[in-house]
Amino acid sequence: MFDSMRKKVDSTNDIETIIGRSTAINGQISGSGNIRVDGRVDGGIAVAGDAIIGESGIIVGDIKARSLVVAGTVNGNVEVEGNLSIHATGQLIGDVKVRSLNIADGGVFKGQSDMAVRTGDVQVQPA
Amino acid sequence: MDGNIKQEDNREYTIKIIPHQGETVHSVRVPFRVLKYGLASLCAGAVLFVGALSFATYSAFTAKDDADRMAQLKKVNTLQQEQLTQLAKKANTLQDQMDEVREIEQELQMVSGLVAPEDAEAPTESFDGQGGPWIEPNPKNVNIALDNISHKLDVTRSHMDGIREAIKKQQKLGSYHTSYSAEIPSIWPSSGDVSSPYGMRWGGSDFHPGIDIANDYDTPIVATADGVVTFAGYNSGGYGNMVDIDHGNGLTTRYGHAEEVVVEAGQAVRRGQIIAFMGSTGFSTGPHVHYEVRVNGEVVNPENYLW
Repeated sequence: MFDSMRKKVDSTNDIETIIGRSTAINGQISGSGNIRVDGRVDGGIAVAGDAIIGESGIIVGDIKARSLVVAGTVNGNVEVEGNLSIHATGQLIGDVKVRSLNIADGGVFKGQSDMAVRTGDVQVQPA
Repeated sequence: MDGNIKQEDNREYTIKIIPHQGETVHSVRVPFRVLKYGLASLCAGAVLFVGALSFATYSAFTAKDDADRMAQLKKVNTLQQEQLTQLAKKANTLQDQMDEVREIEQELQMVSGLVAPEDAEAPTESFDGQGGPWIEPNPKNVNIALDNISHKLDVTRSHMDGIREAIKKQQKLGSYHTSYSAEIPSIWPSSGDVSSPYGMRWGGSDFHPGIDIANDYDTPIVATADGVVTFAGYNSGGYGNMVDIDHGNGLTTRYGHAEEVVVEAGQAVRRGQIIAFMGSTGFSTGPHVHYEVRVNGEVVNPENYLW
């Protein structure tokens, strides 16, 4: 039972790394798992998994991940394969390239957004 | 081992709750001891909870079961009470019918000259409380009710015995007299002792044409069969105050030495009817009744007409 649970945790849902609230990193973070940042990172983040920026998290630099949750502050460009979610406490300044985007009421996004256009839909030509 | 335990006591764990969304991370520092005792008490709590739950479930089921059984028993009880009531009613009805039969029995006994069995009669009146209201039986008086019924049945059985006896006697009578009727003398004219039987007297001095039944003065003398009084009065030939009754078919009876005669010639009498009171009139040495039975005027032995 516990073995199976461990296997599950080891898989993509485990948040393997946490940068704590009182930790600051100067430089690029890269990995293949998921990461959560509650501290400060001056540099970029590039992970194969998901990235979560906690309420107290501050990122200065570009982020590349499978998906991104922003509840803190990000200054930099974002590129995610999946969903970018900006919470009410979140603030993102920079250009994004995402498949889907959602911003909660109160969430801040300032920048350009690049999303794939749905191929099956009728294109509406600008007037 | 002791060292190990001490080491274990110092261990600590941090449990972090990390939201996959952006909410704040919560972390709880847990010493192994707390974890251990916490887990233990959690386990104990769980065991207790499961136990309590299963007990509650069990008692709920049991209570339901008990209630079902109670209802079932109540049903059975009601049914049995009804049956008991029915039984008691039946016993009462039987008693009533037995009373009727008893009256017939008594008539029968009078006809056949049997004495009524007083012993069978006695408990009937004093115990069964006939005619009173029937009280709904409850567990306390069920026994009493059952005793009552069984007692009634006992009394009934003894009555049955009496009746069987009477009928047997009746049967015997029937075999003696195929043409038996109320007009054939069959009972004793009075109570008392036979002081002198029919036939030759002691020493062969003379012939005694009847039987003498001795008793106190004024003992009732009754007609031994239905008939018509042909003579009632004083006989100077030695019979004293005397009654002759003609029963038809050539049968007559004579009752002598009476103190007092209470019927008149020509009067019809029934078997058992009082015709005179015992005395010592005529040729007599003490109070007795001289009883004769004649067939076509010839005296016969009255013993043949006493059953």
